[in-house]
Amino acid sequence: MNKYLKLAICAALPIAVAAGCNSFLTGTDVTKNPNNPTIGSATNGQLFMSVQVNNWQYEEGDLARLVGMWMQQVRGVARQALGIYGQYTSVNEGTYDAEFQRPYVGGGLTDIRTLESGARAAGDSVFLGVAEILEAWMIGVTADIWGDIPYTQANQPTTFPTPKLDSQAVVYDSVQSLLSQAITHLSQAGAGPGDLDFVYNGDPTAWTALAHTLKARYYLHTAEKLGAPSYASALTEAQQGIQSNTGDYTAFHSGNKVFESNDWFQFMDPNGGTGRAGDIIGALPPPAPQAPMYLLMNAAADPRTLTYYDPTNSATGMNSDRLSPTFSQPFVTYNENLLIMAEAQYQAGNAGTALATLNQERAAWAASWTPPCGGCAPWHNPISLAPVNAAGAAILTAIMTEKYFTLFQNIEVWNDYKRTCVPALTPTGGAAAIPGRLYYGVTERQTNPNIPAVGAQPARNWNDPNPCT
Amino acid sequence: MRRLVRSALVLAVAALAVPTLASAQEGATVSGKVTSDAGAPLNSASVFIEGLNIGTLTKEDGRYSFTVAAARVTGQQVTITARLIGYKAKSSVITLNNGPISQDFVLEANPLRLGEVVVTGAGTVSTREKLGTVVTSVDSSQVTNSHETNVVNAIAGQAPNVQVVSQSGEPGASSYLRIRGVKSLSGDAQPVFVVDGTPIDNSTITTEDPTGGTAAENRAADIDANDIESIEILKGSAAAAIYGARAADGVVLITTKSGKSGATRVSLRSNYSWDDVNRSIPLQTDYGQGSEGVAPVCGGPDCRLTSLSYGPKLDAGTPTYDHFDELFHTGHLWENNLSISGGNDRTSFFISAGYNTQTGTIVGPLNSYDRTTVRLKASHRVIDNVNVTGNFAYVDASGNYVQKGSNVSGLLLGGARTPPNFNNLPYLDTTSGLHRSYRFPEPSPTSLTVGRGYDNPFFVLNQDPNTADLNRAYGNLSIEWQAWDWLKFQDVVGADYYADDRLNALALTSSAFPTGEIFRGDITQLQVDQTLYAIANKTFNPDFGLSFTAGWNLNSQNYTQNFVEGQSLLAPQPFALQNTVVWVPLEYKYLIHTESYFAQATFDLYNQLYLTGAIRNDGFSTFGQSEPRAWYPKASAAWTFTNLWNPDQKGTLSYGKVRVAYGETGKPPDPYATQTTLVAGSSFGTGYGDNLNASQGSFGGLFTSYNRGNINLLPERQKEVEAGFDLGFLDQKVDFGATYYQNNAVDVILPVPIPPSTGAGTQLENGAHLRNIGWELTLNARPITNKDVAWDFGLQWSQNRTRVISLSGADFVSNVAQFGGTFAGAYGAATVGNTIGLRGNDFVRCGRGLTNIADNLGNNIADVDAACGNAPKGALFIDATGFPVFDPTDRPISNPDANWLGSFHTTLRVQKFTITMLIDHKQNGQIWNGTRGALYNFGTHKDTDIRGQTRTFGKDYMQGAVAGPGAGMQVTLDQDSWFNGGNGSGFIGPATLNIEDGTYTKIREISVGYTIDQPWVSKSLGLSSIDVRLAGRNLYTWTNYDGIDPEANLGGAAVTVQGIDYFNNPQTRSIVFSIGLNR
Repeated sequence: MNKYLKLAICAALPIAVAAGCNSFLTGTDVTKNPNNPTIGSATNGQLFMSVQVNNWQYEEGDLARLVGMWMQQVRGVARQALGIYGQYTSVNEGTYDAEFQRPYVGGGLTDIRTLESGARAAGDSVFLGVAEILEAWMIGVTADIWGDIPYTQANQPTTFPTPKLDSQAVVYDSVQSLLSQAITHLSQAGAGPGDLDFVYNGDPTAWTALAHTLKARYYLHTAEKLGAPSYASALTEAQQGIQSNTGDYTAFHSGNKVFESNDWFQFMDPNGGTGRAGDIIGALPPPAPQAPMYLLMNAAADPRTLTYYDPTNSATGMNSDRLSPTFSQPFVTYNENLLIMAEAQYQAGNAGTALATLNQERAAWAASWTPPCGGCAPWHNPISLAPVNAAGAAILTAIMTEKYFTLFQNIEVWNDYKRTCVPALTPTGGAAAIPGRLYYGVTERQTNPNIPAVGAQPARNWNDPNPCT
Repeated sequence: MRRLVRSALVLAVAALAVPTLASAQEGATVSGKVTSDAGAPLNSASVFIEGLNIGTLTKEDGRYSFTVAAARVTGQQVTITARLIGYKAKSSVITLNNGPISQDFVLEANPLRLGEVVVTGAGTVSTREKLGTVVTSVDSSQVTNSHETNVVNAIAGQAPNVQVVSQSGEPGASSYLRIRGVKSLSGDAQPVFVVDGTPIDNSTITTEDPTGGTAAENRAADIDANDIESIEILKGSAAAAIYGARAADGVVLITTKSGKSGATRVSLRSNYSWDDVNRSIPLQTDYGQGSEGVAPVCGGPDCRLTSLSYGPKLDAGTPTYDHFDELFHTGHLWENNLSISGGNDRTSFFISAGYNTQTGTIVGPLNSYDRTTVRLKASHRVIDNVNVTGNFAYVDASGNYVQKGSNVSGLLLGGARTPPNFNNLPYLDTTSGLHRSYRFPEPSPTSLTVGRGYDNPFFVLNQDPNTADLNRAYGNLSIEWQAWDWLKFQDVVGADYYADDRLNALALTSSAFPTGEIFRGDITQLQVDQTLYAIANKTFNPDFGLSFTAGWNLNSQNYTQNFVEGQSLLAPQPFALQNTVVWVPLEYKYLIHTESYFAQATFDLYNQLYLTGAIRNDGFSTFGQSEPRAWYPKASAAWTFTNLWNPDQKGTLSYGKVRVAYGETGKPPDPYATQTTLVAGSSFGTGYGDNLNASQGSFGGLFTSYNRGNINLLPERQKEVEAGFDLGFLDQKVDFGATYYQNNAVDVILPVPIPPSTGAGTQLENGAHLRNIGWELTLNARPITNKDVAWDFGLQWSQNRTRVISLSGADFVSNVAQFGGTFAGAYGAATVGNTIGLRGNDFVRCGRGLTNIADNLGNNIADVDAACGNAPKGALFIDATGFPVFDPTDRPISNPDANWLGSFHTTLRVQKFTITMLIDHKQNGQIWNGTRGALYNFGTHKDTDIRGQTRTFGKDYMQGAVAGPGAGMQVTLDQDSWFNGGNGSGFIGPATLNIEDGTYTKIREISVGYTIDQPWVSKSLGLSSIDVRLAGRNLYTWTNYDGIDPEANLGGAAVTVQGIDYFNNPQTRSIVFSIGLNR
């Protein structure tokens, strides 16, 4: 009320303007933003929280739904999802604009870089290493999907107002060296993120293993182009990667609020809050449609089928545990690490070792399946997976099929498919092939002359010269 | 409070019936009759003795009478003047002695209103012939006869290039004004409203997303239209420059009624209206729920059925339901206003009280609007040259709204998607007592926290209360000191305060929030304004006069919005925050200070040339630091050239004036736009509604804002040139006016898209240039002006072209919240070379240079134009499947602006009968019928009746030129190939499929009025007159638009992009009966 009194006095006595109302237009009560904190006032921990969560959104949000649909693990049956699933041409440069922006803007590189310099200033090498892993991971995913991307000139608005594209090969090299750097930093002193890290609780050893598995994953991504050396490097890294399921990097969702809940739950479940339930389904009761992966698993009599799908659930066709608000979405796992090894071993000519590693992974899967509620639903019973017995090229098919099943809803599945063309998926809508990349986001294309127009963009990325036909 | 006012109204009506005792007074009693030159008695003419500041108004019979106190009667000679809008004032000199004095007046018609005082803002007044710009005046009878409770609607059709659009026909829905196009890319583009010299708030604040959620009122609707004496609309920058940095979108000056000395006048008006929905959505009733021709089977409780109506053809005799009509019935508005005014030679007063109660056309109890208003305006002459005036108004408004739009708990979204064979009633399952819907028809008792897919519309209109309760007080105090006869000082201090209490509730089982959600909002707004004026008027000799006004203004705007979303209800009721599990707060506030100086001078030369110059200097706390103050100049010239030879305004060319003006106005940056901040309490989302909070549990996350601020922001600047002429013909029986203007809005602030790879998506810059060019024509004629018969008519025509000239190098900008967000395939944007409209995709067409397009089979078309052969530009490309092909290129797809607007009005008076009519026309202006696109997808739209039939694109479907390998091929349009799985679906196909022309002609109003003022009225009822009127509003609309109403707009005044129809709640037409009792 005081300021109105003052205003009234200023108003009534013009002379007062000269005396005491000078700050009428410039005082902090009118110039300081009362709604949001000023830039630079965030702690390292607060920046880390944002980056951590933003990375989860990158891994299990819109891109995961896209990959899930294009890889036919789930099925779009209504509204936009119907078009994305059934007609690849309905995806345009606006469809994933927000996802292209995600790794750069708030919660992405801009805050990761601040976090990195904050960690350096605090002398916290562990925190620095963690931040570097997050940078490498997000940028790596961006290169997986869009190929050549802005990176070396990114996030320097004054020097580079329109960052150039780095070739995908260069970005992958950067990802590798950043991860190596992170591994070094993690071995040095520092308090790290501590309990803000909802996955590893700040454990540098766990982060180090994650970095090795990510390195292995990214070596695989160059294998179609570079061949044997990539497989060899992938194997070396995977051997130092995640060594048990306790080391899995899985998202944490408290489920206490809608926006603290698993994205798949938010999107697919009738209680998810987005009103999108029914747009994407798993396996609905016949004659309603099912996702092709469900049919594949069913045909293979894979005992894990019902851990993903529930064809009695007419709303989602999904196993309700899998669609729980608190479901911890796996992003990088021990199983993936083993299957990377298996593929690398096979490609190095060690088919037998590869088969053994595959069966090690299946055993690990079964062992990790702890029935959370013994006997109350069929999928809560213990599951045993028989060892695969195969020879020759069938071993590779078995490894990649296993990976396709195991990495359900993981965006890595698209990379595996583009590299190996396993399983043999039938493109939808009569298309010749499943697309190999996305158009650059329309916002970037409109503002950055280094981005080619839609018609001039390549159909495939550097690392993926051969389409699956 | 409302009950109190209502009882007061009843008492007042009782008092009205009792004839007041005429107290015997000594002194001079002046009386007489005022008539027109045609001989008709003139009502409400003011008769005034200027020197004594005493006078009165005439009654319906043209008679007046007032008494001058004996103490002031000295046998002196005084000038007595009679004035009435539309007539030339006339003065007489009388000698004032005790006893009766009779003085009659015959006033000559003055249809061009020359010589009348026009309020031109910021303390300035002028007379109409001196104006160098167009200023439209709307007087009180035009306002009250419109029968609109929202003053913005009352302006509809009154001035060229002043377009009024109401959001929907719901009670308490907003209306917006669009004056001479859009000149900015932010804000709501609404003019400043100034009531008796003090600005008031006219924002439209929605509790939720404006494209979903509920409608909200625009706050100028809090003014009781019955209290308005006149409205002046300053349309262009040349007219509004005196308001500087706030006046980019024009200024609406409202003057409220004042008391006049003389006998106390009492007036009671009551209107009752019957409102009905005017148009509906066409729905099919031939095919039932299902997919691929197969009806779904519900396997038992809690089954979920398909959302589609592509089931089997319904057998004859299958009951079907009209899922549009069943939701609406006749609504009612009852409007009452009582006013009492009067005064003596020192003091005058005007008191009014109004009570409106309205129930809307949507079935159910949650669709109503009540408003109570009271006003006291009083003026007192403290000493001979000092006058004080106080003007105070209080408003209590409360509305109940229904969820609408892009919202799975919206009324028509679920309603219009319901298959024709599903009965939405009862909306509660007879066994479990819970919400049933077509996608969830058999709820079990345990389904209390499970969504229904889409809500049953009857559930929405019965179970989801959405309320807004507003209390508002506004007014001002003015002190006037006439220092010399040529110089006056005036200080006006005013305030406008309101508190608006909101609740939006989604009950348990709502599809948008199955565990229940409430949105509680407290909005408070306080604006304090003070202006000190010095006003001088001096005529130096008959050929040279000067009016000069200078002023100093201080203004403070303080806004606070405290919203809390409560998620997951504990018990089903009450809808209170403590009954929810999780609370998500959102606070927003700002404080803006401004300080300004202004001056204006008008030179009158030889009674025919009028030159005006003005300058304003504004300081805003929201301006960037590099230039904290800004100048706004204006200059105008008006030359009444006919005064050279024809000062009496007679003959064939009875009047002629040319005018030219230039002025600048501005628009300030939004509060705190100069800063880049971190974002607190926000989340990472995908555009589909799934989000992850940056803070999780008790662990806080902060991240950098997507928008980069700019410390050097300047105010936006509108530079307008306006020129025109006004002509009178045939002794002023006909007048014609024409105006041309060009407005260049430069330094327009926009979030310039920057490469997101630089770390932010937008940076605010003064980078855009928008241009509006327009023409305005008016023609009025008064062919008959006899005492018993009078007939006049008028035509207005206007055109405005909005063009985005540049956007700081960008091709278009879209990420502006006011643009209405993104829908299935369409989003609002400003595109260089176009206006502000929707962008999205089209089908592949020839002549566009398209290359490397994937056809429906996924095959690459390397060069579309080559494949088109000789087909004309724009021909639809048909691929080998026989269907058109989706073009992924993003492009502008709609121009929502009218090509031109026109209106025709006429009044015929035969003795005491008056018949009026107003017809409105809008030519072109595209609308995106997103409702139809969605209903194609779901199979409930009438057009989907052709499913399974064959058509040929270009020939009997989407007529027009076609090209390509499949041109001329017959194809079957069915669920998969077209409506649901193909490009016919609004969720898959290009948005252009649902862009429609929005041309309409509407009968805005037809009314018949009769005035009863025969002697028996006075003798037996003690009244001077009774007015009765029967009026029809929006009686009929001619349009080819296929959706609900070509005038509807989903986001209402809160959204800049017009022409969005997506399950909007409908508009209404009304029959209004009104009665006015006067004494």
